[in-house]
Amino acid sequence: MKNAKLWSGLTSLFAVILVITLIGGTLANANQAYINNTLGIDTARVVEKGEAPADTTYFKSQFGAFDDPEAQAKAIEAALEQNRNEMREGAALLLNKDGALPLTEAKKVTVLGHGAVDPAYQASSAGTKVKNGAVNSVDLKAALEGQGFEVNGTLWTGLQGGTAARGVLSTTPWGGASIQVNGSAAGTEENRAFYEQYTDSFADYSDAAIVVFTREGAEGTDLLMKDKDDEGGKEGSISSLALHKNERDLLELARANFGKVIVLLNSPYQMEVHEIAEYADAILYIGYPGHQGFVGVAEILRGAVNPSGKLTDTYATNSLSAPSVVNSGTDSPLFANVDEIHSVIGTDESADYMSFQAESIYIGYRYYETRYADAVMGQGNASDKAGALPGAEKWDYAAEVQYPFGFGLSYTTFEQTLDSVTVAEDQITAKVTVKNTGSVAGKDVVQLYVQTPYGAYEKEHKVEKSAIALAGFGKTGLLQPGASETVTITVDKYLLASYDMTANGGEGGYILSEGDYYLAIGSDVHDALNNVLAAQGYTAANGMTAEGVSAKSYKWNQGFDSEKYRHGENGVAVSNQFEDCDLNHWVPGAGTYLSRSDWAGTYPVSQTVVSATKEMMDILDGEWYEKPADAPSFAEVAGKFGVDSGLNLAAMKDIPLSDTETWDKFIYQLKIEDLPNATAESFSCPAVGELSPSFAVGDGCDSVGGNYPLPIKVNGEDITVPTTRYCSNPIMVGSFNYDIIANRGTMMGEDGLWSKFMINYNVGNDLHRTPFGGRNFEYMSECPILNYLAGAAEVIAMEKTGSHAAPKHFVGNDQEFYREGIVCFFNEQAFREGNLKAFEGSVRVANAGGIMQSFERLGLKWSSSNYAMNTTVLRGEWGWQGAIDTDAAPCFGEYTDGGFKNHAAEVLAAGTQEWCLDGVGGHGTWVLNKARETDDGHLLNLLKEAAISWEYAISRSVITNGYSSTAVIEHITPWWANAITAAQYCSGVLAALCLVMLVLSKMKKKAN
Amino acid sequence: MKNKSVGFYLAAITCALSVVTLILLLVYGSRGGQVQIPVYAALAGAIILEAVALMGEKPWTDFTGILGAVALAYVLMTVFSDGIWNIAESMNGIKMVGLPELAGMNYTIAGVNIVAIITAIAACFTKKSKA
Repeated sequence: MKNAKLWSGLTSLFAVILVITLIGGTLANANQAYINNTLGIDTARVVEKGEAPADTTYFKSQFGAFDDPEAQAKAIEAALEQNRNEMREGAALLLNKDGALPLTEAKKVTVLGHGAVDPAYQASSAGTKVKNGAVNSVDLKAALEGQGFEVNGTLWTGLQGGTAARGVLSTTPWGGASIQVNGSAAGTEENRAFYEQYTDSFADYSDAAIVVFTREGAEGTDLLMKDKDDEGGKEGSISSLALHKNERDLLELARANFGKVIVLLNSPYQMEVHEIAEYADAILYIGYPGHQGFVGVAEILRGAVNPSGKLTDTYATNSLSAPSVVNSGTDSPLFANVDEIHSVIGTDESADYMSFQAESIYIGYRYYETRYADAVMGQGNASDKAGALPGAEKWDYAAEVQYPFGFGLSYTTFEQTLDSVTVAEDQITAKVTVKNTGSVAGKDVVQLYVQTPYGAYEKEHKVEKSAIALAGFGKTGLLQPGASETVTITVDKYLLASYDMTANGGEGGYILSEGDYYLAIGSDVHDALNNVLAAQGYTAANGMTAEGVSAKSYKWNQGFDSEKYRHGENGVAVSNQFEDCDLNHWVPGAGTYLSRSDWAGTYPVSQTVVSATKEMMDILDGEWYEKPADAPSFAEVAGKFGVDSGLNLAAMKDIPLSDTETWDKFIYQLKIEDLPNATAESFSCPAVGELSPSFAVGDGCDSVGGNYPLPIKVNGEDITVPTTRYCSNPIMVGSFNYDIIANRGTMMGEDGLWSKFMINYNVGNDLHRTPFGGRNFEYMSECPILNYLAGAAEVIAMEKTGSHAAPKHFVGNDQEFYREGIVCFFNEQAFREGNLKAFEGSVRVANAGGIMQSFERLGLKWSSSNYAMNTTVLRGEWGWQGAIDTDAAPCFGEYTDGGFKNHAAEVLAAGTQEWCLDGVGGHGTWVLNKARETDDGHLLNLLKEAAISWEYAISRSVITNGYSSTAVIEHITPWWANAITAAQYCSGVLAALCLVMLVLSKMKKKAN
Repeated sequence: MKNKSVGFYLAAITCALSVVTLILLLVYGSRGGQVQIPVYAALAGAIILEAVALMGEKPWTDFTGILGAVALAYVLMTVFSDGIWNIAESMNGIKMVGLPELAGMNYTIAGVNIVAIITAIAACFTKKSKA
């Protein structure tokens, strides 16, 4: 009996170990890249088979060799300097009553607000995380002390022990705690009673009160459109961007106790600042500072730096007043027949929510400024109360908007003169002289805007026009008082074209409207519009908020032209591709788009909700791929693989994609079983046969993540230095300085180089459709042209480094709640001039190495399985050759087809070629098996094309460093994988042996 | 009752912990956590197999105990594997494809499950009744 129990126990023990190692081994295998990265294991080595060349470091750091600690130190410092410079030039001074700033004489200050001691250095998303005390981080107190301020330590310490928090506290059974951000502002500030404990400490630190207010969204979390107030505050819901009770109480207390109240907006989301302005002497918008942005903040407060940043978004009085708010974000409606949808196509297709983009092209300033212009001109019922502030009898710009796009004050004054404008065939060149007319040195931004005609044709053909749109920008150097500089801005006329869905006999295309065009400079978009209106003869008597200066504008006439931009790259015709994304295509008359022709009749005053028809549900179901009638057989295509042509990665690094014969030969060296690995993108990507090794990728719009390779000594300990977290994108782009923007690209490329990232999903080109988008901190602005221009500058610089840039989330990701599968309906003009245009600079113009797609549906199809977007536009119209990657579609083992994001054949057939977070190539393997089972050589060819695209990107990256044209890759199995395999075999054998002994002992006992 | 040995009590504890695990999994699943159907089946099987031991020492008790432990190990690893993103995202303070807010439950379920596996293995080493 004792023996039996011994064998029984041992059998169970080894059997349990076997199960754990089998399932754990699969899990480890799926995540091998992370494990190898963590353990510092290389799974491939380069073996030179020929004469070793002198130098195979094709992509070098500008700071020196990758094994040189001094070079690494220089790279780190340069990145941190970029971070500081972004804040120095991107923070926007919104209010400065009576020259409250700079605090040139102040010594002892009191810092208030929970956000002071617990700032959002970034919001939750990919990339390096910065928190108080993190390596290389500088908090606000240290930054202020660096500028000679003494900070009220009593309150600072008190705030550190406060109870305010952003989000919901989540605890673990053993006492661990973390905060899950939930988009609410309630409870994020200490209450009045808390601060009243510390009022005695104010007297000694009364030179100024510096108040920090924070708003924090996150990947997966939008700011709440319907938030609750703090305890004792307003009943019912309020916007999370409105001032909450505790914040108002804090401002009252600060106002009562300090002569100067300075407010820092630690929020990339446009807070409702009008109430803050009632209490504050100065408001400085600082967004998220990253590692060392607070240094720049302190320098601005002190006056060591003169602020020159401009807003990249409109600050509305009521954050809920934009027409885009109605059907989006946390208020996104369900389909009226969501239960029926579930019963017909199941819940796993994630087709519950819809978002009708009733605002058409009118996002951000394109809404507020256009409506203003029409109100001045008495056009289109613009002054009607539809969409006006609650209780207002008419729509009034001055009441609706606090700070316009492009706004930002300086400690000095500038005078801008539009010297000349030259309108050529393809480009417009404007020369603007900027003179510093104030008393301190500073930089100034030249903002160049355009108004294109909105006439009878446009009204008849429903071509909407923003009354004003950014066309270009430039920035001066540091101008001393009295000094001047001439800035030249060149504008591609393409940016003046409108998409006309009716052009070219109904095929659609870009047109240049007939009529008068106006270029204008201005201190912000509103000022520029006023200058245009002045040139058109309007004055304050017409309701303008201020008199414009017609001399700051330039008018010319243009004839109607639908041919100039009729064709895209390589002569491909540009035509309607997204008609099926219009709600009215499926349910005629169901959706009304906002139009200048009738603001009153088209402003969305209620949500648009429909029931999905049977036809719609068939498409929502996601299955549409059919083997083409002329598809080759599987064997026909498969037979070409496995042929060694002597080509390696280094040999391909200068071969253009147009040399299809050579690229085919390169890929045909693979065994077809290796093809799925070329579709497997993850934080670390697997080797693709003998063609390319495994490698890591970067991810994050303000930080690509990763670490510098060489440990450094801190307090005697070796530590690894993470790459830098830069300022949130609206701050970086708010610098309106191409040097700052391009250097962000360069430094993120350097971060990628040092981290050996082949590609970085890091350029945030999506639009701020509303102020509530959870990832607005990662995305640049509300203006597609600003994103176009800034994205191009950033990507061009980054692509030079050898660590690719990949804009995301292509395209139209503008909300986080319900983002997976939400059905977005829009019209083609709005999509092309908005979402697509915002990416076009990065992708088409700058030729980014890749893109990451998004989770939402474009119309009824997931963005990754939308052929029109991924093939017709990207490959056709834009002629772009980069790698197309889904957003996260994780697979850790066996892939099961079906369900949202799991329609692999459709995704591949649409033109998407890699699956994100699928390090095992599960989707690709399923496609390969499907191709084999259905004898579909077409699918196999698509896998081959995906492999070419992936290897092409790799061949132009840092991954080629160390490879000569005669080198070969040898794979190394990491020790942990061998250990797991050994554990599996040992536990299996031992379990079997013990089981046999158990049976034998039972038999022996029975025999006895 | 006097006839019960240590193995009986260990099996009883395993059985109880398995029921607790099942309840936790049901809550976890209702909050959006991924629980595959075979996991529920394996856990139900483990409860039954461990309950068999409560009948006292029988010729098949050793085998049911082994299968019960194996089933619990399957549950542990499968739930852990399916919830890996909850844990990874919680540790990294991000939210991508997982439900980091459920990481605490992942830890709790794993903790209870591991104790159940240990008691199940220990029960296999011991008799379920003194006779």
